[in-house]
Amino acid sequence: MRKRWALILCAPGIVFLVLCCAWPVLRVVLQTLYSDTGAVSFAGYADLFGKSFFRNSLLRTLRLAAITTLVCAAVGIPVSFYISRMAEKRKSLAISLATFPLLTSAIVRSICWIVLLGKKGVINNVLLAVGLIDKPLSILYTETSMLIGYIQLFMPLMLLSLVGVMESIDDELLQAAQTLGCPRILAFMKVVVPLSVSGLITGGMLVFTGTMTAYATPSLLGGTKTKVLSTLLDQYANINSDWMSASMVAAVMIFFTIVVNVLFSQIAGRLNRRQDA
Amino acid sequence: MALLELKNVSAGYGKNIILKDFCISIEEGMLVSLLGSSGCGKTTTLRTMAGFIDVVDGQFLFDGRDYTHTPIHKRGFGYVFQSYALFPHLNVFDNVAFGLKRQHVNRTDIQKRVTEMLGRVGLDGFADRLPADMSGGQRQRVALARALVLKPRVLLMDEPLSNLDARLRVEMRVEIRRLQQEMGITAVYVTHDQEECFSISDQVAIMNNGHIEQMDTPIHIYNHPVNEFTARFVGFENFVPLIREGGQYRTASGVVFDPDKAETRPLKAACRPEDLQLLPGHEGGIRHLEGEIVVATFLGKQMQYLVRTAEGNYLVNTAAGMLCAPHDPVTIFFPPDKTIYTVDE
Repeated sequence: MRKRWALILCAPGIVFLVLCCAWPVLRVVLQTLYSDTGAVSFAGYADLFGKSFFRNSLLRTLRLAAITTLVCAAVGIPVSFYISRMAEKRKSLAISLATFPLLTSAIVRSICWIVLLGKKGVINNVLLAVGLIDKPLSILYTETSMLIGYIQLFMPLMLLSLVGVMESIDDELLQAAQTLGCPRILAFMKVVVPLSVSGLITGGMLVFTGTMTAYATPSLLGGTKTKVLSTLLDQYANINSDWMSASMVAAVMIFFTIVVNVLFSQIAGRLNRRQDA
Repeated sequence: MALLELKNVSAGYGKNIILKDFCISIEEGMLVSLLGSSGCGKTTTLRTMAGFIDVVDGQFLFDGRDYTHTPIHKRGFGYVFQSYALFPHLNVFDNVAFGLKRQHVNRTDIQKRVTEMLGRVGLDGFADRLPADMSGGQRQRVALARALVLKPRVLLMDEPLSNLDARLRVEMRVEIRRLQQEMGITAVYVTHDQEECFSISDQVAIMNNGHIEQMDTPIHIYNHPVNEFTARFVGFENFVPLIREGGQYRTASGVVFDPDKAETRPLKAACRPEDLQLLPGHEGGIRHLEGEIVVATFLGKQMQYLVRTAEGNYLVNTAAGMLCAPHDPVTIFFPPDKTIYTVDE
């Protein structure tokens, strides 16, 4: 009886997801598997993977996502711990500040970075005026500017996942590690970091897949030589009107997103079994 | 010479100073309890010794050396938390081995010492368990083992038994006392349970409002509390205010008491309910208060009577055989060897 009710209550959501998400995605993926004659064929993919600019874009996408995730984790761990130990009032202020980037449009944010990072942007002007450099640095439209944009965009997700987990870590565990001979930093590494792994995994999953699929940030802050899958897809679809290739890029993106998610949740599963049991 | 000594220490949390000009000195090999109700500063004292709290003023000496600002990890004191604070991501073995690994003890020695320690606290065969899979008493043993395996000279314990049920509490306190004596450790034990602390301590410090009211052996405190606060803490009730008049101490209604101390300030006489004697009928005399029964309560082995006298209401416990009814006239007698006198502040 309860099961039937659960099914009825879930039905609208399920119908919506199947009609508006699963079905179109499935069609996009399926149509890439048929050749012009209607036979199942992987020729299109063989062709796509044969192109070096596609392979480069794919590797760049994965590399940028990995670096973004690592930077967010490295910065996020100490910052989240600091926030998690704040008094209630200051903590909510810090959290709203941390999540502020999420509340502004990705386009506005990226344009801000253009103003800051451009050849005649604020940063170059200041560095030139101070005399630290002779010619303006080219930061904008490189992987560096994309990384900066990604990190700003996704840091809040890492912080939110970590603060939640770290709040539940008792200060006494740190003190216990210290009475057993660990200096404070080491106690942090041996106690807080391992106990935050579940937050790191949630945050990592969000940041990694977010970076992989982000579109506005790489298209505004990246250049023609730093295409990632999402901008490549856009080029195929909207400029070349090559819908077949665009669909295949989409399928590859979906594939890697799923792989990454499965990988992360498997690590999470293994660690949770060790902790919660 | 004292092993642990706080000298005129002021300490607290931020602006909230809990200990002011606090002094205590603890001899090597002793188990000293800090006893008091919540907020009296006993845990603050312990945490100051551990280094969890910054000392604002004064000095903390360990074995004659100034440890006031020594970082926690360099003190080498064992600490047992009220919450046990076991590492939830590590199994029992790794919890106990945590400190040994920091000391770069080699692997076979770690194996040996941890196994031996687990045996000592009665946890053979639990090495692979996670703390979450264990009962409160077992976790308590892990917490003890984790601290003791490092052979600390000092063991600090913060209400270690307060999360256990009554039977286990008695079992564990005997266990703690045994381990402390076997290993010759100096221990400081914080508790609010009078029976618990009297049963295991060499010395008890009764604390109130951030200072020590009395520090002595349990027996001495039990029989000779120095003031009304400690007297009440160890079960004295029935305080009778006395004023000095013409070289004698008398109650307001004129009954004479004969304190054996050279004192001229106003005093209070006190006696435990079970030590007072209840006499039928009215009978005047020294240390005799006349009154009548107000309430009679059956306590099983004893009867408890609330007696109204001219000085106030007093509680008397008598053998169950002696039966009185409300309104019966009675006399309370304060036996000289069971009556104490404290200065009336």
